[in-house]
Amino acid sequence: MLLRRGPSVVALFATLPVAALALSLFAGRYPVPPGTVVHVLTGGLIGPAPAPADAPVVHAVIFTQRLPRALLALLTGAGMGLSGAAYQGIFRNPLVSQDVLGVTQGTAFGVVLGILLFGLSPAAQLLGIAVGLGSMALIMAMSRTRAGDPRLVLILAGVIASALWSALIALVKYVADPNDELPAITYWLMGSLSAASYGDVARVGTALALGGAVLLGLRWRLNVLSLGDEEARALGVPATVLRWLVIAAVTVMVSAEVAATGVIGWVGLIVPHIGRMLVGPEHGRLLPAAMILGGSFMLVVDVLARTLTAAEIPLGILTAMLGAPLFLALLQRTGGGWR
Amino acid sequence: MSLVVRDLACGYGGRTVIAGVSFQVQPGELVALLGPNGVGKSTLLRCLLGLMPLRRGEVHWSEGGRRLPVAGMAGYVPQVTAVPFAYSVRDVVLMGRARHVGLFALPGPRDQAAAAAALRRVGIEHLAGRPFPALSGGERQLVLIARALAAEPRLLVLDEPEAHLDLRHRLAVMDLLRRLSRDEGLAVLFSTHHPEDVLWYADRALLLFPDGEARDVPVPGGLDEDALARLYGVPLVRMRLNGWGTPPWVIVPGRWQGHSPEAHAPEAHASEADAPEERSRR
Repeated sequence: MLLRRGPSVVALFATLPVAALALSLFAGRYPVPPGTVVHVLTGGLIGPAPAPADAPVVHAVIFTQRLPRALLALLTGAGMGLSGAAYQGIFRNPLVSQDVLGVTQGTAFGVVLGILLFGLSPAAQLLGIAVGLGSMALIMAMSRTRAGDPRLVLILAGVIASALWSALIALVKYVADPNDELPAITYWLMGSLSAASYGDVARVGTALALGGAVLLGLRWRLNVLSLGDEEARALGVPATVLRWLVIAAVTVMVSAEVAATGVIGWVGLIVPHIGRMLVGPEHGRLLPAAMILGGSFMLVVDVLARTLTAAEIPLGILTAMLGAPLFLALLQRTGGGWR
Repeated sequence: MSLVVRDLACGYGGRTVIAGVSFQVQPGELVALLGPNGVGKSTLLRCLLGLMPLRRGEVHWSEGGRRLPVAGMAGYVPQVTAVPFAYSVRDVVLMGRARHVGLFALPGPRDQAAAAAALRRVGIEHLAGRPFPALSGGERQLVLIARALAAEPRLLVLDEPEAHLDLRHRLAVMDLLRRLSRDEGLAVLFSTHHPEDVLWYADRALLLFPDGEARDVPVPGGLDEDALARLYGVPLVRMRLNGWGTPPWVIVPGRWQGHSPEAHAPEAHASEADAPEERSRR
């Protein structure tokens, strides 16, 4: 809990996303000088103009490639950090992420089925969102039991749902045409922002605005929810209703994100831990911090994904390769205490 | 103003755990709930706080002729708490304000002030910045009492507040409860397995006997050897040690024959000569 509440941590959280966004707009395989990027983005107010011959290409690179991609990375990462932190709070378990109830796998199944039916298209994405939201209804139906710890029942229902969706994904892959459909499905499943469009940005942005408003609004209540149902109720907090509200908010965000980007793991698991190290476990501070850290982390990972090698590296691979050692370092530092 | 419990019955699934319990707790009173393990002390407390449904009877907080739900008036200190993250003591106490903070709001200056006041009332301002899981058992109990007080309740309900505490912290908690009831006018109801503390501190005791009977008795008169023996199924000797400013009560188990068939019959009472001081009763 270094830097707990000082001005330095506020400065860090103010500059981090701006710096990451700038990096994401300035860096890329097509060389554009930073001054020219500023010129194009400000509509010619500041910075040197590109050579007239290059201008259309530079415009295209910035407005159809880098900008929507950067915005999508920022929104997706912010949503993952936020929903991961919220789930770790309501499940009182630092080892869960927003994937725990199977919505990620459900959405992925919907999109994969959509790719099989309509090709990679907005229609496939909408099918993914629909299946993702339907997955939550499935969880609700499966967890309608009065016996036992409701958290445990939910997590087990999530395990069941994830297994079901994974099996269905495997089935779609099995029947897909190995020449064109199967590679498209496999590549999409690994997660990428390369197809980012303003339509994606609008969908993910809307979901983040809806879900994020609920989660940020409830952020102080999450402290009380994390104490367990009985104590929360004794303190006057309707635990069951609020838990479903949080789950609904996360589901909306996760299904929109996964439909736009594919399956990107680790961010929602690891970002809340880094947030806790910086601002402490109190959710009133942790949720905004996790949101900012998640967005910045995703921007940086995406820059690495598209600049490290000539061919783009799928994001899911990079987040796992960066996330796993980071998680190990955290584990060794905290001894699994996760405090 | 008082907590009114009338003919209360409560249970889980098909099993009724407690039935026919009636009592009242007035402001300024410290009332103990005594009974063997599993008799339903926690169930009774949960039931009157509205954490589980009533089977029969009624529970309310009566104030100026009105019958108000107990939950809104009560601060609750649970028997066990599992705080999953290293929240600071200040943050834990602030959670007691949940009832007063709007659903989508953050605690405001008034809530901060109430939490600070609760820390002061319990005498643990110096712990405010410490992470809760790093505290000792005794300190945690005081923090949970402060959390309950932060809600500014009329009634304090505590489920075995002295369990797992060393002697000094046990007395500190009992002193605090005594002060909160007598000096600050709170109605306080707590369950316990320490009859000495009840004799020493409480105004009345509600005894839950293993056969299901509940009896509201005055203290110390009602908590005699017969009642204690019936309560715990063990012969007990109650003594008062003289030669002290305020003579403390001592309760000593007689020899228990247990479940062993060879065990000898218990000796009726400890001999007078064995006791260091004179017994005040009998």
